[in-house]
Amino acid sequence: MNRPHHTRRDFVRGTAYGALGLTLGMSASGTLAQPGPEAGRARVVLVRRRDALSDDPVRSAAVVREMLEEACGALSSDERSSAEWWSGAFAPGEKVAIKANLMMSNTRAEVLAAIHDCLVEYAGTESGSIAAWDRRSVGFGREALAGPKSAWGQTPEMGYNEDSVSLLAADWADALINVPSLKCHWLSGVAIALKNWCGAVTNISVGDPEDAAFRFHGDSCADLGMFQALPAFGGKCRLVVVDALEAYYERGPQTDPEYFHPYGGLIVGADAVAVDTIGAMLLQAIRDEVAGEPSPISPPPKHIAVAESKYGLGVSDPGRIDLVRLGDEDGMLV
Amino acid sequence: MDARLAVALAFLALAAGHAWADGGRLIVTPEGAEEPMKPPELPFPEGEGERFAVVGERSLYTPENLSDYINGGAAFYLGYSFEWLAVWRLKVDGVESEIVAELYAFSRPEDALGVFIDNAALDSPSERFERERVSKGLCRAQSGRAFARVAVRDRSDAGSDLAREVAGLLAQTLDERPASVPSVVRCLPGDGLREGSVRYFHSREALSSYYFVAEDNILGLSPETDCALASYEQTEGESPLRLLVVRYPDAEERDRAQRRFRETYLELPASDDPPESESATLEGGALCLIARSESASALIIAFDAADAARAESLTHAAVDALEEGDEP
Repeated sequence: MNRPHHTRRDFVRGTAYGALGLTLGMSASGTLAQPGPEAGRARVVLVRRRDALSDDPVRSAAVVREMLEEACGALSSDERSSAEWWSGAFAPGEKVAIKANLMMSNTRAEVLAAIHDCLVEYAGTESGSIAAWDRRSVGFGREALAGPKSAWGQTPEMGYNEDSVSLLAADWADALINVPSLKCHWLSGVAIALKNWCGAVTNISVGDPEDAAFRFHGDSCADLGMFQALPAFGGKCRLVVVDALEAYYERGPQTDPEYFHPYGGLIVGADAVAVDTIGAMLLQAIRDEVAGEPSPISPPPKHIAVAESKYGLGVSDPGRIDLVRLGDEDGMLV
Repeated sequence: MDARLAVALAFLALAAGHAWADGGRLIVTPEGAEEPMKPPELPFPEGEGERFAVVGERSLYTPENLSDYINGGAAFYLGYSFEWLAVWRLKVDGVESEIVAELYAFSRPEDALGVFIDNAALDSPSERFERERVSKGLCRAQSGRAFARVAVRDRSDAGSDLAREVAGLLAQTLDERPASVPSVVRCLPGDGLREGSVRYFHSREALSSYYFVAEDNILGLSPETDCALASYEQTEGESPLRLLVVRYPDAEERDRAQRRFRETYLELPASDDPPESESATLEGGALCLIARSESASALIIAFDAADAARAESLTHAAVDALEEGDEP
């Protein structure tokens, strides 16, 4: 599919990538789109607690668990509890693999442990049937998920199939949970849920050579949605939990501690495109807040809009996302 | 690589200049150029009584496999004359998490400088390196063709001290001539320049990550183009004016880029003979001005200018400095 080739002026005019383009700090109007139609909507929960970043790791873990419970309880528009949500989404006996971030900006152990505990307590998942992984490194069970990731290692499940897709995701797991950290990325603008699957495939390279299994780096990684479109990933993924406890708002993936914002949040939803849309808006707001002036995410994270327009994967129009805000409102930013 | 071919290439390379081989990859520099940097042997004192212990083997990455280490982040370094990266993981007595020490080598010292100022001021004094910045457990430093990066998870002053100490060990292995500041950086006017805002790069991807201009490569950036971008103060609370300087290998490439930019970005009618300097007022009232340096084969563009006189003053000062700098 041929896409129009935009310049900065198209973003300023508000004619690039629809309503999402309006939120990326370059638009002259700079406002959120108006509420869209009822059909084709997505629901995303943003929960924020300042004390999630407590110096006391026990306290921090407890707060993160509470945040996850609150968020999952608000995932459906009816009055379901967190326990009901988890038991409805995952069946006892299932194997669940959590795609975490191990690279420069880590998914926090508190988040992985909270997900583990909800699965065990509410869905009846066995602890040993819960894995968290990134690339070739994996941990099974609570001790591994709650502990240092340096203790994770390789197991027979950690290879790749003939399609260059992680065996853990394709063969071992019955269900997946996508748990990226919230960060900007120098090549794709942001790296959140849609980009997190890059660490679950092999045979990729930034030059996108002809023989690469997946060629997505060109055009600011516009085609990142190709991963979410895979049955092994998007077809199995039932939940996205973005670790926004500390948001990295400068150009990742290599991080500089100067640019972590202590946000204390989680972004939770089932629609990875909608979750990424809220994540990008939050990163944009953090950048503007820190800079004290408009500081557009560069390059614009077009892959989020392309995931909807080309791959039909979810909702990238903020006007069609029902954002539920929970917790500390001061400093929520979106 | 075929063994006979490798031997033949090595012979030719050695006859012509300098070469070293790593994992079947031959790194060659032409006659007259500096000898290529080699990844140093273990620079860390270890063993009984020493504080440091190296965990595992030193990892070495080349342009072919840098993605394995930093995935999409590799493209940043590959946009410069990246040759190799050596990585050590260290344990230190009394410190729980590992320290990661990275040493990057480039064939051009200006490129190592460009990588350093991606996230630091050009003027970042150091006693051990040419430039150095230490903050919250991260040390970044540059000397000649080398860029060092040492990361400690501890963001306290103690973490910074540790990062500084490990970087000092890396510094001992370096014997590099200082990098000269590229002409596109030297020509940037100082008046109103935001501290730490100067960037030096070559690729469209790098420009897009600093300041998004267009999805297409309308300025014709390539490994052969030298680019500098800097921010200048305007009214408080407003976005800064951005000044972009692009120096092309020749006047033809510059002229193609100018025609493309004025038609695609300024949305002006096509012209085979565009003026040396012209501007357009864009959406929201901001002004964009492009000027051409004839003798330096360069374009200088002011983006987001609130004031035409200021944009003209900055671009013309940069043109003058570029052309004066080229005079014998």
